[in-house]
Amino acid sequence: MGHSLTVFNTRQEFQTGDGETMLDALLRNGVRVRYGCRRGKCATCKHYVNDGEFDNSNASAYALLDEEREEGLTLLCQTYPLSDCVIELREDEAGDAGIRPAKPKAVTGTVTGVEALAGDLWSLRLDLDGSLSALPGQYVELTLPPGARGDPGEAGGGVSRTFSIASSPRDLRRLEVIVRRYPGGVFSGALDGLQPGAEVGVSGPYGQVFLRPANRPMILIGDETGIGPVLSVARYTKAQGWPAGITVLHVAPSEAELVHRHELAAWADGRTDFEYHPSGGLGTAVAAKVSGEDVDVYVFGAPAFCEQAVFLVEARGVSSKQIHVEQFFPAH
Amino acid sequence: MRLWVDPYRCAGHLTCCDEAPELFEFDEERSVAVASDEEVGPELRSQAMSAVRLCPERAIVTVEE
Repeated sequence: MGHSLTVFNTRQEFQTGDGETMLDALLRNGVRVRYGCRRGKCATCKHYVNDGEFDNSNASAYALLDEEREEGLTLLCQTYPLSDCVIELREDEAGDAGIRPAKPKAVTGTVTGVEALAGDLWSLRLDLDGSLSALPGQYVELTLPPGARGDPGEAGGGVSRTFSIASSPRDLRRLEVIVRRYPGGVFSGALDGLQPGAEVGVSGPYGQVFLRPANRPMILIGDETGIGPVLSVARYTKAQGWPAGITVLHVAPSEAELVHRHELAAWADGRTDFEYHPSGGLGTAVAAKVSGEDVDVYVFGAPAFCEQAVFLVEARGVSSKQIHVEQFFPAH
Repeated sequence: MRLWVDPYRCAGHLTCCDEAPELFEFDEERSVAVASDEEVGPELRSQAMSAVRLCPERAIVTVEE
């Protein structure tokens, strides 16, 4: 049964759905709220519950410390209301971009392609029965169809994982995501069993790291899977360009894992506003291509990669306010 | 043909909503116009192209699939 949820800051009030987290209820109702992974990992959606009963027992003790729980803080993405609740958002950073993301919605995706790109990296392509109005950089949640089976032979049907969108918003009803296949993964291990025509649940868009309008040069940094949202930005800007210039730093341990490198390299040849810098090392790439303060930097990738990238970019004089980071947690 | 309004370009002039109200609506929360993502039928094609031409921001994109 749903409960009433009131946002103390704005006095907005609405009903939660059955089995719906507080965060998903806020997003469904278009509330601007700071959040990140929706998986209880990144601790970005840490806000207060001022009143009411709730269950946040799934929140990790690392992402939500005991003293924070005692203070009334919770991770909204891991919190289910058990009664009517009042929440207080710590701050509102989602509305500062001059552009706002669309409310998430659920559509159905039909698999049109499952392709092994290199090593564990796969491309999954879907045709959607409705467009999601995602902004470049945002992500979707995919839910495997009933009967899908992962690597250990476990039923993967109904299992959901999140993946950044690699396609352009202009593609409307076509979606591509880059997936790392984990041996033993219930979701990713089911990839090669997905046949064209299979139906996958798709919801989104999610995420607050997306292309911000600016007249500054932009540097996009992505690792093996982090290149997904970088591609989305690059594909989106292909049509009208980005006059201030885009530099893509694509970092992977081997050339083969620099997936979609040919597409990116071809753009660098054909666009005066676009530079592509594939590399085996983050440090050398940043040292070679990042300098000055008047630049927006977007970083997409594994948490350790993002942490290192931010450290290196800040050391090159870029303000933390101009660094936008989306960490990818393993989607087994 | 489908239509897409680039949210980075749309400035909310609403010309498209006037030209082709069956195809566009204004999202007040985001202050941008949003196009229907259905195929544009032949009966609405002329209105659609008029909306594309008249958009002061050149924010409306036609997508042929």
